[in-house]
This record gives sequence, structure tokens and C-alpha cells, in this order.
Amino acid sequence: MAESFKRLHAIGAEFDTTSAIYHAAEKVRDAGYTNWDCHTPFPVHGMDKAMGMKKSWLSAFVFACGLTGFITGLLLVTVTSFGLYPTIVNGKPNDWTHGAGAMQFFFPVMYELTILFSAFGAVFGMIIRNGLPKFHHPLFNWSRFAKATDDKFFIIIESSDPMFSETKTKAFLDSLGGKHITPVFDHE
Amino acid sequence: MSDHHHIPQAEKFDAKKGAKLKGLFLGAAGVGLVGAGATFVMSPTLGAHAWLFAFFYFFTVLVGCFFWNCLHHATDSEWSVVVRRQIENLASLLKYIGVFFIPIALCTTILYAWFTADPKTDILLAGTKSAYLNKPFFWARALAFFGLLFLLPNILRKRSMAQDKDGAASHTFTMRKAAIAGIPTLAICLTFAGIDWLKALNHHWYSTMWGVYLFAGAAGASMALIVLTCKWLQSQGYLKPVTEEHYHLMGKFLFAFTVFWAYIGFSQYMLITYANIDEETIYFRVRNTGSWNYLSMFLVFGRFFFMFVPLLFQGLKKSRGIIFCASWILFMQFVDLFIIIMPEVSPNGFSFAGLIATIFPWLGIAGCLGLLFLKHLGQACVFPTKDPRLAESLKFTN
Repeated sequence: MAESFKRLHAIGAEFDTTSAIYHAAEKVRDAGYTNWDCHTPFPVHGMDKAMGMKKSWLSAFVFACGLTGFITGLLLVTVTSFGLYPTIVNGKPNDWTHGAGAMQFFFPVMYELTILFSAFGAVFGMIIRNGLPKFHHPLFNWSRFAKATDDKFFIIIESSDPMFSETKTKAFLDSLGGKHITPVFDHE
Repeated sequence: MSDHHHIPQAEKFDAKKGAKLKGLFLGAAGVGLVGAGATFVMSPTLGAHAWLFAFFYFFTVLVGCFFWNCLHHATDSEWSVVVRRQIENLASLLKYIGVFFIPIALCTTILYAWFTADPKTDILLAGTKSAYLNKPFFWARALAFFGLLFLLPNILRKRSMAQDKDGAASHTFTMRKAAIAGIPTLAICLTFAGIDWLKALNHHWYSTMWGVYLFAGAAGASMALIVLTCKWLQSQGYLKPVTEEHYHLMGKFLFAFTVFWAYIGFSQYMLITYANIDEETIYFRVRNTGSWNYLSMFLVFGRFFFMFVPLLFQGLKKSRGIIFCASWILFMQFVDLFIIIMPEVSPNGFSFAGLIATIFPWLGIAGCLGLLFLKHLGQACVFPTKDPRLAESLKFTN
């Protein structure tokens, strides 16, 4: 089982401090890499800017889900109460022409469904966005990477990046002050 | 990050830059006070209610500023250090608010029917209600509100200004203690002031959500005023370290209190309509009839729906659009209090005379408080220069 038969997934570099990885990330961004990531044991403020990340589309997705929830709630109450089964409750109007006058009593339904759908959108949207669930990731083949949940900081530049070159990327990460620069291979 | 932020130089407000605004405030105060006086001569009932409206508008907004000041210290916030001085300048205007209460104190018999009613014969005051609504207790409460709201915001501002000189962290700890005492204080003062001065306009009426409803409106409106103050100072070349990140966060608070106001307002409405008890529904019966109903609908859509969607967007909160939203929220606070107070004068419907009558005292008090604010502004640096957490506040990101 020679290593050369495995597909090269990425090249990883290890950093010791937040400021080291922060400034290294700025340089990776400025060098024009697009398919890369930082792994830190805790959130680093301003990292999204240092990495040049654009705004996530998740908020737009959540907005669409919330709007869907609102419309679902609106239809649920109006179609059932004014259309399918008009019932007089507390003497409130129950037909399409005057029903808007009693609409305020249906707000809790619309409100709750807006929130429920938004929350679903946020959670499931995040899961889809992150490509989860995933049973394995090539980075787990690199034993030092486990320290990303402890006290080390990692920059990973993936081989799918158009600027990727096994030798140049390695040298570039070295020039940024990265330690333990390691090619990470896929299974196969 | 290791990149050390440059701590900006202490900057003091140059009185010349405020000259234009000072003239405007002087004019508003003059026109407003004369107009309010003329209204009172023509119709004491209308004049007294209009003054109460204007007084309570600024009372809620300033108590709201005091709330943000307390919240900053109690939660040990980083982001708000740079804008805190302006919050202090506004909140400590509460020490003058008692002066504007004097006309109301002189008009209690016009405003509050229970003042002249006899608890022995008035069926509405019978039972335990007169244990709360009686003259000695009413005056004692008013004194307590003004005393406490004089003291605490003043301590916060004085200590903060003292820290500008020596930079000692001990001031931060003192302010934190005062702020933690301030939160229950302002909650109690605003709730019972709302009951004494607004709800007692009709002492037949009950609402268990009155205090929190007023608070929800006050907190949103005062954050809007803080945003406008910061934007104005920036347009004059001050407060440069306040970035779009700070406005983004203040916009989030505007959004939060837009939703909270709607939540509380709706809960109050829902509880009252479902229970359908006479002494509760009387409030909405007047306000949801005829022309008052149109204004009530305008309040619901204007204060909530119209602000809800734009304030969702990050881009708007970071842009100049926040100026429009903040101004609109302050305007809706006007509409909110107008609907609370003015139907007591003309229960049969909206009157333009009532609208014009409220504008004069509003201008008058706004002008006076504006002049006092400019005085406060000139007394200290525009941001707390030696606060130990200023650097963290400057590099704040959402």
C-alpha cells in the first residue's frame, strides 16, 4: 500500500497562537486561495474578515422559511375558519368578507408557525450548508489534527483549489510560519 | 487580535458646532411653551392632557436611556463603552424632568377624576382601591420617583466623568453597583408612574400589563434617540470610532424592542378581549371605535409591521437607513402615547385640535431638554476616554 496511490486531499499547517493564524489567514486570502479553511479550538473574532468570507446565504434561507411559515399559518387559519368549516366563536365574523376583522385572534398561529419554520430553516439550513451528516473526513487521517479541539490552530488548503500546487503551497505555508506542514491523503 | 487599536484622543464638543441646533431648540422651546400656555387658557382640559402627553413622552424616553445605561454596567458590556457618554448625557436629563411635572401637579383635579371623588360614595374607588389612589400616597410616590431618578443617573454620569480624569477601575465597580440598584428602581418607577399618571386617567380601568407595555415602548424609543444622537455627533465630526458594527448592534436592539413591543401590546390586547370584563375592555372599546380605530391600526402597522421587515436586514442597520428607522420609531412613540392619553379628552373620535394641542408642549419640552442636553454635551468628553474597556469597545465586531 504505497502512499502515492492515495488521492491528495489537502496540505495542512499548524499554528500556535490566534494572532499567528489570524495574520496567516489574511495572507492566504490575499494570495488568492479560495478553497481553504481555518480550524481553531474556539471562535476567533474577525476571522471571517481575515479569511475574506462573504456573508452566508443562511439568513436569506431563514427569511424565506419564516415567510413560508407565516403564509402557512395565514392559510391554515383562514381556509379552515372562513372556508372549510366556518364557526362562530365569541360572535366574531367568520366569512371571507368580514373575517379580517377577527384576524387579530389568529395572530398567535401565524406567529408560532413563522418562528417554527424559521428555526427549522436555521438548523437544517446550517446542516445542509455544512455538508452534514458526514461519517468521515480525510482530515481525520492526520493525527495532529486532533489538537484543533485542544490548543492548536490549523490552516488547511485543499487540493481542489485552482491555485493549489503541492510544492508551491507547501512552501507558501512554510513562509507563513506554519509548523508540521503535512500533506493529508484521502482513503482509497 | 494582537493588532493594538489606537486609543483616540479625548475630544470635547465645541459649542460653536451646536449653535444652529441651539437656535432650533430655543425656538422650539419658545413656540412650544407659549402654544401650550395658550392651549391651556382656551381649554384647560385639553391643555392639561396635552402637557401630560408631552411630559410622559420625554419621561419614558429618558427612563429608557437610563435603562440602557444601567444595562451596560450590569451586564459589563464591551460594545457600548464608546457610546456610553451620550447615554449618560441623555439619562441624567432625568434630574430636570421633575420641573416639567409641575403643570401636571397643578392640574391633578382636571386630569384625574379620582382626585375629587369621595371614596365613600364613588363606587369605582370603593374597597381597596382607595388604599392606593389617595392624595398623600400619590404625592409621596411622585416624590420618590423623581428623587430616585434624580439620584441614580446622576451618580452614573458623575462617576463616569471622574473616570475620565484618573482612569481608576474603582469607578467602574461603583457604577456597576449603582446600575444593578438602578434596574429594579427604574422598573418600579416606570410601572407605578404609568399607573399613577396614565392609567389613573380612568381609574375604572385595569390592565396587568401596563408597566411592561410602557417599558417596551420606552426602551425602543430611547435606543432610537441614542442612535440619532450618535449619528448627529458623527455628522459634526465627533465620535469617529463608532463604526457600522456599533450601529448594527443598536439596530438589533431597535428590532428586538419592535418585536417586544408588539408581543407585549398584543398580549395585553388578547388578555383583555378574551376575558371580556367591563373594567378592562373599556380601554379598547374607546380606542377601537370610529376614527380612533384607524389610528390604533396605524399604530399596529406602523410601529410593528413597517419596522419589522426593514430591521431584519443587516445592510440597513449598517447604513444610513437606520436614521430613518430610528426617527420613525420616535414618531411611533408619539402616536402610541397619543392613543393612550388623548381619547380621554375626546372619547368619541380623533380631533385635529387635540393633535395640534399635543405638538406645542412636545416642542416646548423637547426644546428645553435639548438645550440642557447641549449643556451636558459640553461638560465632558464625547466618549469615556479612560474607561478600561474602551479598546475592546472600539474593535467590536458582531
